[in-house]
Amino acid sequence: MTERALSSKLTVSLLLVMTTLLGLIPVFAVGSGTEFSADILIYAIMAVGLYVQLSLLGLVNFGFSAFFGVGGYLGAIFIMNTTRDLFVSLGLTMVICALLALLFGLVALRTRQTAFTMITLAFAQLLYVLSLADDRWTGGVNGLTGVPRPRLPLTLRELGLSIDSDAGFYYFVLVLFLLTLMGVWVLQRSRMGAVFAGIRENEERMTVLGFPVFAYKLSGFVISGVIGGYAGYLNALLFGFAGPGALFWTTSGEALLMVILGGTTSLAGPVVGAAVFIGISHYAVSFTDHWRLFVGIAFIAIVMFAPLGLVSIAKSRLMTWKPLKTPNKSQWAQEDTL
Amino acid sequence: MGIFLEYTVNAVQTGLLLFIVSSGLTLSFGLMRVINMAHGSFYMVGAFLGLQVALVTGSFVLGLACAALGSAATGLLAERVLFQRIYARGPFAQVLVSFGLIFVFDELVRIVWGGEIRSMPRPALLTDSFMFAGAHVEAYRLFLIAFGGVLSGLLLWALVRTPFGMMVRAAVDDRESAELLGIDVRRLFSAVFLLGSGVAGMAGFVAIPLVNAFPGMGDEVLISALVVVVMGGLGSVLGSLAASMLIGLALTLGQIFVAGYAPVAMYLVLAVVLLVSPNGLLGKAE
Repeated sequence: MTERALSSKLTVSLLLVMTTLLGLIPVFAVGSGTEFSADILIYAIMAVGLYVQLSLLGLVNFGFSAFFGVGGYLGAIFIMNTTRDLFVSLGLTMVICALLALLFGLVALRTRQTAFTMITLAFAQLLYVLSLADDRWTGGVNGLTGVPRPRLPLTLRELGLSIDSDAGFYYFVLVLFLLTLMGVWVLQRSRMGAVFAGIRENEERMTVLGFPVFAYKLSGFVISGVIGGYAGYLNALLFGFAGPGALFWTTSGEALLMVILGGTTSLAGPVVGAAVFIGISHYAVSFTDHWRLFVGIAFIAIVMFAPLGLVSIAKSRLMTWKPLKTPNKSQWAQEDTL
Repeated sequence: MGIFLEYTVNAVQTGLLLFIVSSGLTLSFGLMRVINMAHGSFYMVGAFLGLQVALVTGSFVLGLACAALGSAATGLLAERVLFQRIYARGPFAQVLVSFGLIFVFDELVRIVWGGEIRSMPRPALLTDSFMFAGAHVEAYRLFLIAFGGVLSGLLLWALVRTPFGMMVRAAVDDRESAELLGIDVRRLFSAVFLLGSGVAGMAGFVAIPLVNAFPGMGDEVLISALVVVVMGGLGSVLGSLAASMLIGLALTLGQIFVAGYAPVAMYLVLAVVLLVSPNGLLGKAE
């Protein structure tokens, strides 16, 4: 069996096991376990959104908190003022996040590399500052509290479904998470994904070949922004709170950390990274007030000793039993499997 | 007329303070393409060490000296233990490691000094404010202008006139050729890192009377410093001086016209500059 075939068999079986285990969590979870798992899945969705830009297009966006934060605020505002309907409020949030990403991308994508990274950072900080200064819509420093859970459409409610309970909400998040994974997986295998890879590796070549590079980058940017937006929406529903913290630049830093921690070369990377990040933070909180110290040390250690991310370690141990390869500049060029 | 003078003082003071904070970041990026997100942490470490010494000894000058030495030592340690090992690994590893360092430093400060906001009175000689040509001028702000001006002047002089500065400029311009000519760029970088963090620490200390000291104070300054570095053009010291003054002006004008929204001005200026000139005010194309 070739390495590739073995790898995809492994991937499919891992996916099935993972989905089953994820589906069983509310049955076995104790205490706040279900809520905590929903939290992980929400951050995993956000990290997958960033992955579309970072890994597929090679865009180092340091302002991803813009979508996550705005998604949260929009969800809260729509649910509290406009509609209690789940799909209407979610749909409106996604449409506005798409428009925001379009506008943001039209400006930011004119710059490249470090300038792009910094202009995205500046854009997100701009929204952060605005959210603090405004108190009519965003509630200023305090944010919006007591956001109620929206209602499912009548036909689904008649079937006995609801997202008011922890388990109900968890399953809703799980469905969105799996849809997101599938969507991005299809995207990276599609023709568009191939063009993205071409742009990531050599933008000039793709331009010369006649591809509308800017339009492709903008599409990827918008897709990624929408994913970040509904992750933020879900995050606001989880604890019924939307605040400026989600827009602050450290949220963007954490999102990058999750993707790079897990590994940028496969779709499993952002998911594993988000789980490890939220997991470490969660458990460190429970045994010390100074959890940030341990979280920081843990990250530094992981970057120093696991240069290509956690997934690559697991993969190389599982597949080849060879020692880790040292990373090189073209880590993008590695074949992605999942 | 008086009010105009007052705003000018504020703008120049804000700009110069921003310039000395960001100078270390400009040079380390220009030299090694290192993105050091932990630069704000050196600003914070300097502020807290200096504050402690100033409170114990009652001397502002001793506090300033300890802020400089303490943050320079912290910077050198971080560079030797961590950054030296990951230069070759590119911007991702650097961003991640320095992001981890922010967590570590913020928490260490919280462990040693607690999480409260701490203030420091202005030194006795500089508590006054006086009327000059109809303007209300604070002595401490004038001191900051003098301090920032002298420090910036020294920095520019060192870069332009000393052999050390020439080596730094050569290495920023073309690292490989500089290495071929026998310049040890790594050692040079250690020295720049040490200087940059020391200067940032001093800036953190002198800023306490205006903005107080608290864990996480570096996280906000870092973004302003990054904005300066990018707006000025990566690696260009003169560019970041110009950018700092522009931001100082924008923030001060913002405070006058749209009080709560003042910081928005900084990001708008950055966006406009980058759209007109993607490499910043004085940066070269990469």
